[in-house]
Amino acid sequence: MAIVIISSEIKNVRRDLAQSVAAKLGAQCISREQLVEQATQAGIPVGKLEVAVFKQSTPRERLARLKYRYLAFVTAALCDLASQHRDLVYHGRAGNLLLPRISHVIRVRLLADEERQLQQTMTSLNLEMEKAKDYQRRLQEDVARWVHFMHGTDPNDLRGYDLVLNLAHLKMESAAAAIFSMAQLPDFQTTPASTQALGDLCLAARARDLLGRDERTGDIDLGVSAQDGRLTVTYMPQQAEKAPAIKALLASLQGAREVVCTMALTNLLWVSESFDPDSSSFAHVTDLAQRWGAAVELMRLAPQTADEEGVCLASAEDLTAAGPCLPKEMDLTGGIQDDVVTQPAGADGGLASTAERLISLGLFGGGRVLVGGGEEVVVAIKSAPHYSLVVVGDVFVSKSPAVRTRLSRELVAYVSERVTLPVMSKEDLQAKVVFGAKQFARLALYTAPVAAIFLAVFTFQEPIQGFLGSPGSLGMKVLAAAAVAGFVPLVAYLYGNSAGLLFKWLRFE
Amino acid sequence: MHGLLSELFINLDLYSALQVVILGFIGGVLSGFIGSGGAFFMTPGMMNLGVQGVVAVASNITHKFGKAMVGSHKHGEMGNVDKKLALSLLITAAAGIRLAVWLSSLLFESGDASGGHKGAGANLYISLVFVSILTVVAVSMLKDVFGKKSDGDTGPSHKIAEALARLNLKPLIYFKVADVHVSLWVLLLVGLTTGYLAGTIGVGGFIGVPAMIYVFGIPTAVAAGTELYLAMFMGAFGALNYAFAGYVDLRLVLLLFLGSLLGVHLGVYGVKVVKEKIIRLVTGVIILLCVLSRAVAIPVYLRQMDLINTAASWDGWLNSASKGLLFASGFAGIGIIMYNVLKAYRQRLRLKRTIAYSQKPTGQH
Repeated sequence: MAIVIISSEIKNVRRDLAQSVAAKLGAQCISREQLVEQATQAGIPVGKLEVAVFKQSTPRERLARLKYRYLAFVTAALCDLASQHRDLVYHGRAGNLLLPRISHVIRVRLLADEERQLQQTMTSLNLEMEKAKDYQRRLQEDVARWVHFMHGTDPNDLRGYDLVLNLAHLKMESAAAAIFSMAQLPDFQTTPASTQALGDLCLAARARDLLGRDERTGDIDLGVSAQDGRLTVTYMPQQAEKAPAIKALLASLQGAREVVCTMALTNLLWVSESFDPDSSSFAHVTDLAQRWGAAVELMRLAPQTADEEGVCLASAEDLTAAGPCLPKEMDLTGGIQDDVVTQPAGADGGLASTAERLISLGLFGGGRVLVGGGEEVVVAIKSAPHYSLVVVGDVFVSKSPAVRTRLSRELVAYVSERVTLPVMSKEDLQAKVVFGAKQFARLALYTAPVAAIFLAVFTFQEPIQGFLGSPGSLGMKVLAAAAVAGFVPLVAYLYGNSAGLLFKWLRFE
Repeated sequence: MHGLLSELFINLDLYSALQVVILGFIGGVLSGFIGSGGAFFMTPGMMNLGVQGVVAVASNITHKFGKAMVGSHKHGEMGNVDKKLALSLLITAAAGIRLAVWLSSLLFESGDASGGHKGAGANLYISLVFVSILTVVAVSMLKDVFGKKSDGDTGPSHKIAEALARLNLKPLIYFKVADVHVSLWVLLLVGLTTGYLAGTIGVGGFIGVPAMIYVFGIPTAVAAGTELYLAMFMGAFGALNYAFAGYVDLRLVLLLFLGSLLGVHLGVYGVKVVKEKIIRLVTGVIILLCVLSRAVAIPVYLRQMDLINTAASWDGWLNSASKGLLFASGFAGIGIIMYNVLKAYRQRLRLKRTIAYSQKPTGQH
């Protein structure tokens, strides 16, 4: 089974290539335009969404819900087609981002012959050369804006593709032959792991699509993810009255082994290479989650080996419909896969056992495996903007303690700089969550000078106010202003920390 | 306080100090809950205690400066601060503050020169600006609450931002974090107004935040974070100006801190557990009561300036009524917020039991 996705801004060119490849493979061919039409018929105003994105006239947050609904529809539609036909060829603007982390998908970037395109634009639109160039430039900008809005990435980022074909150097027939040959490679054949990953992706997309279509649940933001056939839907407390509708709708969903509906105020994302439900990190994360009324989402950051390089880097995925990103094993096995995926105990880094424990606590917000490093984590976080905190746990565990500490710190810094929510290491979390002797010492350290300041100011209030309030020389006035400007932030800082620690001690955050 | 100082600063006994702490606490809770600086409550509250209007504003703006510094740091960690936007607004906001300080100082001194009660002119001016601006804010807020369709769209309207975008008043400046293009002219006007109001009544956020949301079209969280960042600089500038003019009462600043930095934690907690519509409703009603409280005090200043002929004995009654209304609004707000905070605390304990677990394929939920 082969799934070929061809991405290009130029519709005619990608359509011709896709039809040619589909003919060679005997595959079903579907275009972005057909899916857009289906989405529009299903009640998703795609045209309106496009205009709003291009004109940047409507606030982005209003479009977010529509965006996720559209993405879910398109993903679910592709999944349906993939399950109905042995081979599938899809062509669109940035189709490479639609089925992320599925190893048997071939992602092709098609570059049109610019000179030829320019001539075609001039002829078809009756434009002069400069205007035609301007038209093409604007078209590319619009597509880039669309892709950036929908997937948070640049369509020209070549790391998202397996193959780049330039029609300025290749004939259409040769390009089709190249893709056909590539589809025969063992690297792009289905494996039990990739089938499972596609199944999970499709399950989550179908669930999201189903929930988006129903008027009872269409207007609420839900966290939907799937792993090994287990579907997790997270909703906020204010949406609690919608919970029966969610469960009723998903009861009819095919392919779900299990459905878990969890109420959460927000999600904490716990990124770690290995999880241990008996560890102190688990206790700290769950403690914080219980205090915040949050669900905990697990992300196992599997180490990236040389063989796996590029597997997950290859796509700035839409992780709204999460699924595991599993390493390719082709290079290790010569492409021969076991029918049954067997994993030694503990090979999942404690993901399953930790998930089970979180479920028993009512705190499970989903789980997934991600191969790669900071960049992949950033993409994952940006694709699911319902997190309020990211905790980086045990990562780079195979390294020496010193290297591990440095790399962990660098990972936290890297992610912090690129996402708009707090990111902290497990050590930081421990410092913030646990209120031990160290925190009591800090409380005393902040409170003592505050008390001293208050005592001094109210003991010597007349001379102090006399200094601040009496009309004096210019020098005295400047000195008074400088004293206020230096003194007030100091008090605010000391007392602000003191008050914060006091509320933390009272577990009132 | 003795001599000239007694004209400017009040004598603080334990009772009045406690009242300032309570003002700070209520202001802090409201500040955390509403997202404004809480000056609309603290400034008139201090004036009711006999603090000169200009000193109340100066002390509040100085207190706000320190608080904004701590708050904006936290917002910065959350990525809610557009520094470029804040610094662009600051340029004209500084001019606005300077204008406000100059006007307030002028009126404070002129009251004495014209033979009237010293400070009455400034008090009247501050009260009038306070009443007119906050009436508009409160009415708009309540109109927004009652006028909003019940289709689940609780987000703010972007009609103004869209209309201005269509006007295309060049040059346009792009702000990356807020992800908006804003006309330089609109930016200058909003900055000047925000600065003037921050300097006059210590209320900048009530203009700055709605302006950023409705006029610039930026997300609410970024508007609040950016305003706080801007408030830090405006507060610093205002504090420096007022300190230079000798109007800052450091004792009041410390007492306000004592209450507000505790209250703000509870207010922020309240925001997480109260519906947005209720937040706006409570805010609108509280502001309206504060406006009423200040309006009741206006005849006192008019009499002190010999603009109306009422008996001096009325001053006490009017001040008491003003104070009563202010505290009623504060305590009503606090009551609603604390009720929800405690309710949420209890709910959180039951959270573990709220998990709904359904097993497929039996369909039993």
